[in-house]
Amino acid sequence: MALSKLSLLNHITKTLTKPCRLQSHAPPPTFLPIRLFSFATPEEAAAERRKRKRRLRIEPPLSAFRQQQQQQPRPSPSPAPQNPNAPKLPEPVSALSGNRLNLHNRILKLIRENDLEEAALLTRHSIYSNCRPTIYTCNSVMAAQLRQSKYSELLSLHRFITQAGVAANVVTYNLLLNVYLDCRKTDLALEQYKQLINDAPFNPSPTTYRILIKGLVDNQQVEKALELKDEMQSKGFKPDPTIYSYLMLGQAKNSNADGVFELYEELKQKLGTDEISDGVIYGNLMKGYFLKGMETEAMELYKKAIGEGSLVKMNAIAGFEQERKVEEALRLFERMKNEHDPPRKLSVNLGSYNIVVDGYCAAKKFGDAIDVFNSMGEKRCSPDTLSYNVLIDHLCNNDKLAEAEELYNGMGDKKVNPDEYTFVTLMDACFKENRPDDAAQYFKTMVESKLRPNLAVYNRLMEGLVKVGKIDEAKSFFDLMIPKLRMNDDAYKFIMNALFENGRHDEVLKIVGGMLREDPNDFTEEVEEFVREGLRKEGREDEVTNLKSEVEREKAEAAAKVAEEAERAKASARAAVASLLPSKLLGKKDDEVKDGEEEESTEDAVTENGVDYETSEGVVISSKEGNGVSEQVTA
Amino acid sequence: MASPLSSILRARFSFTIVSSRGKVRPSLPFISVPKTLTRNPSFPGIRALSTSAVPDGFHRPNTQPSNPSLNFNQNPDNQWAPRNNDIGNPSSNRNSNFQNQGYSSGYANSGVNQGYPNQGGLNSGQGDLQGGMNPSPNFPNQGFRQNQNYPSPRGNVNQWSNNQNQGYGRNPTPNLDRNYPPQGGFQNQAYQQNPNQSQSYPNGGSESRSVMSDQAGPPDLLSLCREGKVKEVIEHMDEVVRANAECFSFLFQLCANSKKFEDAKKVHDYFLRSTFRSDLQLNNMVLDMYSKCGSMTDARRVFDHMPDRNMDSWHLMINGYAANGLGDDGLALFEQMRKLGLPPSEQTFLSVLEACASAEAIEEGFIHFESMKADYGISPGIEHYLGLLGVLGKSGHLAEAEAYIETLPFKPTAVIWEALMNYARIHGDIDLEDRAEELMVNLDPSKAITNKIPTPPPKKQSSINMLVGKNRIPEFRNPTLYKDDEKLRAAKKEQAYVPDTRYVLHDIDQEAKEQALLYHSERLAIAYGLISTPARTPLRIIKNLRVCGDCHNAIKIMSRIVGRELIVRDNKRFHHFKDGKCSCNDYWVIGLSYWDPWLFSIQQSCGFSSNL
Repeated sequence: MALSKLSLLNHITKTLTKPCRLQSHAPPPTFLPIRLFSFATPEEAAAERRKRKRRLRIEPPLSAFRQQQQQQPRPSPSPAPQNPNAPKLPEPVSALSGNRLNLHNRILKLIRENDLEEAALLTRHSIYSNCRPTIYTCNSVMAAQLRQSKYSELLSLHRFITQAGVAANVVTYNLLLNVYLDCRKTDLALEQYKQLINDAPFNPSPTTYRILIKGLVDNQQVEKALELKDEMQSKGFKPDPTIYSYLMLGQAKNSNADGVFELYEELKQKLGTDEISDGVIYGNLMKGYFLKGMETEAMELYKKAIGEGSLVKMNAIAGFEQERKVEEALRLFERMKNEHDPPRKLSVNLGSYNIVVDGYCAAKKFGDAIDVFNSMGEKRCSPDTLSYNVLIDHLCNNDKLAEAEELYNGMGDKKVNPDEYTFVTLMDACFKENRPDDAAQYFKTMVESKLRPNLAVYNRLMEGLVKVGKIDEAKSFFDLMIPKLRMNDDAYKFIMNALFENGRHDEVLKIVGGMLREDPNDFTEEVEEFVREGLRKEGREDEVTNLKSEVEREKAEAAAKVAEEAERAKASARAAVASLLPSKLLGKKDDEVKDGEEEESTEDAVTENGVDYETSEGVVISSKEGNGVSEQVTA
Repeated sequence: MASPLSSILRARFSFTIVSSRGKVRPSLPFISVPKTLTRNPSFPGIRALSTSAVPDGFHRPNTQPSNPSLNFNQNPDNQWAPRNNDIGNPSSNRNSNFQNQGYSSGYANSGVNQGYPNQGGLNSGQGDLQGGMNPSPNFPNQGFRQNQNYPSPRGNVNQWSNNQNQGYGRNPTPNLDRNYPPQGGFQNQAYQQNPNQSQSYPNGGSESRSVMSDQAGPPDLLSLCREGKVKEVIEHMDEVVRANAECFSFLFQLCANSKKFEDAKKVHDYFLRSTFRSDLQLNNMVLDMYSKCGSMTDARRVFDHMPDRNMDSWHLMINGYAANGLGDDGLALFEQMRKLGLPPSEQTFLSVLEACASAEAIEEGFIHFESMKADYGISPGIEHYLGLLGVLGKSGHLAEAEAYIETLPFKPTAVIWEALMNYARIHGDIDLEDRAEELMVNLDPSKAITNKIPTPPPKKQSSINMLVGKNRIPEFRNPTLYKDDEKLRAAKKEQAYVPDTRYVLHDIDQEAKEQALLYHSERLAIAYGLISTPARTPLRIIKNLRVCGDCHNAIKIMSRIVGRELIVRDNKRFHHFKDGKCSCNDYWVIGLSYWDPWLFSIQQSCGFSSNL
C-alpha cells in the first residue's frame, strides 16, 4: 500500500481535471474565460510576430513593403531578395490537398493498421516523388512511432525529413521533445528547445512547455523546470495550472512541502483569484499538507473539493493516504467507475485500476486483484505491458504461478506484447516451482521474439539447467546465445566446467575453436588457463596449443587468399581498360564508333516518361571525340 | 477543412433563398426603420443613413417583413439599403464565399434562356422608383456600395430577372452614372451600351445575345465558355472577338477553378481592355480568380487599382491571403481596413480568423475575437467559434484547442467535435481523433464512419499507468545490442556517398571536381524522373555513354533512399539498381577502382581528356 498512496493521489488529480472541465459547461468555470493577453492590441501582437520573423531573416509581408513605398516615394524599388539562410516556413494546412491529402489519408490508414514500418517507408519514398508528403504526414507517422515507443525509427525519420528540407512545425518540435524526455535525455531536449526559441519561425505552444516541464520533473530536474516556468511567463504565456501541478508534484517528490505551497500561492496570485477551480492543483496541495503532517488541513481541503461535485473522488485519495480506510477508498473507486462515461467523461483510467490492483495485492487478495484487472475492459481501459508485468510479478512472488501464466496467455488476445520483464519473471518462477523445461521454454520464446535478456538472466538459466542435470539443453542455449550475447569469463567457465564434469572435453575444445575464430579477445588468459587445467586432467593439454596454431594458420591462409583476389581484380581491371584503349590510342575504329554514337547521342539521357534531357555538352563531346569511356558534362 | 463550416453556411444559405422567394415585395412600408436602429443603436456606420434617407426608408420595408436577419442579400433592392448588411446580420455577407458554388451549378442548370424569363414583364414601378433615387448616387464611402446581389447565385431566377429589369428600365441613357452599381448582371452592361436595341427586345437575352454575336462574328464565346473551353475562348479573343460581361464572369470562374495562372493572366488582360474594366463585380471575380490561382501579388495589384471596392473585395482579399498561406498580409490588410474606418462585419471576422489561422497568429485571433464583441457589438456565431478553433487547430495547438472547446459558452455540437477530429487527423493525433469522433457520433449518429479500423493500443501508457519506478526492465535487458544485431547495423551503415573525384579528369580544384560530378546527365535525368513520377515507380534512364563510377555509386545509394528500381542503360549494359545494389555486381566500379597512374598517363598522352 505504501507505494500506492502518492501515486493514487497524483493519478486522481490527473483524472479529475478532465471530468471537472467537461462537466462544467452549464456554469463556465470562473477563471477560464478570462484570457490574459500579453498584447493590448492586435497591432502590437502583429508587430511582435513580424519582428520575430525579421530577426530570422524572413521577409515581412508584401503589404508592408507597399506601405513603406507609399510613405516615402520609392527609396528602394526592389525588395531585398529572399535570404537563402532564412529558416524555411512550415507549409500551411492548405498544402494538404489533392494528391498530398490522399497520401496523408493513405498513411493514416497504415498507421491504424499499425504497419508503422511501411508508413515510415512510404513517407520516405514519397519525399522524392511527384507527391511530396507534407510536414503533417510526417508528423502523423512520428506521432504513431512515439505512441509505439519506436524512438530510433522516429529520430531517423526526423533526420531524413530534415535533410530533405521538410520544414518542421511546432508539432514536430513537441514530438521530438517528447522523445528526448522519454529517453531521459534532458540535455538534448533543452537544446532542442533552445533551437526552437532561437531559430524556428514560430513560437512554442503551451503544450511545448507542458511536455518540457513534465519531462524535467520526471527526470528529477525540478530546478530547471522552475527556471523554465519563469521563462515561459516572461514570454507572455498565461500561467497554466497543469504546469503548476507538475511542479508541485516535483516538489512533493523532493519532500519540499514549502515549495508546494509557494507554487500554490504564486499561481493564485498570478491568476488573481482566491479559488482555483482546476482540480489538478488540489491533489498536490494535499500532498503538501500531508508532507507537513497537517492532516486536518488536508481533510478540510478535500471536503471543500467535494463541494465541487466532480471532485468527490478526492475522498479516495484521503482514504488511501491514511491507509486505514482501504475499504472506503475501494467504495469510492466503485463510485468513480460508475461515473465513468466515455467519451464524455473519463473518471477512471488504467492508472486507477493499477492502483486498486496494487492495493488488493498488497492486501494479499489476489483473486480480487485479478478480477479487477480483468474488468478493466468494461470501462474501456486497456492494460499495457507494464501493468501486466507488475501483476504477474506480484503473483509469482506469492506462489501463484498458475494465475500468472493464465494472465500471460491472455496478453496475446489483448494485443499486448510481453517484454523481458514478463518472461524473466515467469522463468524465475518456473525454476522456483521446479519446472526447468518451462523456464527454458520462456527463455527461448523471449530470444525468438527478438528481446534481449542480459547476461545475468542467461546465467540464471544456465545455473538452473545445469543444477537439474540438463547439460544438453544448457549447451544448446549456449550455442544459441554465443553469437548474440557478449559473455564474460565466468560464463564461459561455467559451461566449460559443466562439460568437463560430464567428460565432454571435445565439445570444450570446439567452443575454444569457435572463440578463437570469432572473438579471439574473449579467449582470455584466465579462460585459457581454465581450459588447460581441465584438459590437463585428461592429459590433453597440448590440444589447446595445437588448436591455437591451427586457427592461426587458417587465418593466414584466408588473408593470403584475400590479397590474391585483390590482385586478380586489379589485373582484370587493367585488362578491361586496356581493351578499351586501342580504339582511342590508334584511332582505328574511330569512324565506326563515331557513327554508332552520333545516332545515340541525339538523346543523351531519356527518362522513363519520355522527358528529354538534352545535355548538349554531352552530345558535342561524344560526336567530336567518339569518346565512350567517360563523358563529362560540365555545367 | 472548411467542411463543417461550409455545411453550416450552405444550410443557412438555402434557407435564405427559400425565404426570399416566398416574399411579397410591397408589404409593410416604413415600419422597420426604428426597429433596425434600436437593434443596433451603437453601430458606428450610422452616418451612412444621411446619404440617402429616402431610399433607406423606401426599401427597408421590403426586406424586413420576411426575415430581417437573413435575407438582405437576396433582396434585389438591397443595394439601396446597404447598411443592412453591416448591421447585426450574421449570414448576409457570408454568401459571397460560396458564390462560386452557387454560381456555376446554378448556371449549369438554368440553361440559356432561363436567366431572362421575365425581362419585359416586371418593368413597371421599379424604374420609377429607382429613377427617384438616382439623383443621389454619391455614396460617401466605398464600403457601403456593396452587395448588388453579387453573391447571389445565378440559378435563382426570380431575383435575377427582377434585378435586370431594374437596370433595364432605369438606364435609357447609358452614362447616367458611372458609379451606378451594375445591377444584377452582366447583361445590363451590354444593354447599357445598346440601350435602344435591348429595349426593342423586351423578352430576353437570347435575342440580345444574338445581337452580340452579330457584332462579334460567328464564334459564340458564351456557349464556348459554358462548355468550359477556356483555351478556345482565349484564342477567339486573340482574334479580336470581344467578349461580353457574362462571358468574362464565366472565364474568371473557369480560370479560378482550373487554377491556371497563365490563362487567368490572359483573360485579365482582355478584361482590362474591355469596357467593363471598372465593373465592381467583375473586379471582385478577378480578385477571386487570382487568389485561387495562387498569385496574391496580382490580386493585390487589381485590388489597389480598383476604382471602388465593396466589403466583398476586402473579404476576398483577406480570404485569398489566408488560403495562400499569407495570413500575415491578410491581417495587415485588415489593419488597413480598420484604419480607413470601414466597419467590419461578421464575414470580415471570419476572414480575419482564417488569416490568423494561416499566419499561426493565435494571440491575435483571440484579440480580434474579443474586439468583435467589445468594439463592434457583433455577437459571435458558431462559425466564429469554429474559426477560432481553426486558429488553434491549424497551428497545431491541439491540446489548447481541446481545452478551448471545454470553455465554450455553449454545449459543443457535433460540428465542433468534427472540426477537432479533422484537426487531430491533420496533425496525426490518433487518440484525440478517436475521442473527438466518438463525441461527435454521440451527438450525431449519422456521422459515424463505417468499417473504421480499430486503433492499435499504444505500447506504453507511462503517463497514466501510475507504475512509475516499478519497471524492472533494466534488470533483465541487455544494455547494448546483441552482437549479431550490431553486425547487421554496421553492414547497413556502410553506405554513404563520398564523391569520388578520380572520375573528373579536368585540372580543377577538389571542390570544383565534386561540383562537376553533381551535373552528370544521368543524375539530372534521375532527379527529374523522381520529382515527376509517383513514389515507388521504377525509372528507366537511357544514356549513350558509359556511366561513371561515381555515378554508379551515387545511383546505388539513391535507389535505396528513394525505394525504387532505377534501370540505367549505358552503352555497355543495363544496370538495375535496387536496394543499394546493382545487377552488374559492381563490375564497372571494380574495374575502375584500380585506376592507376600508368593508365591515366596513357590517356593524357593520347589526348583523351584534352577537351573534357
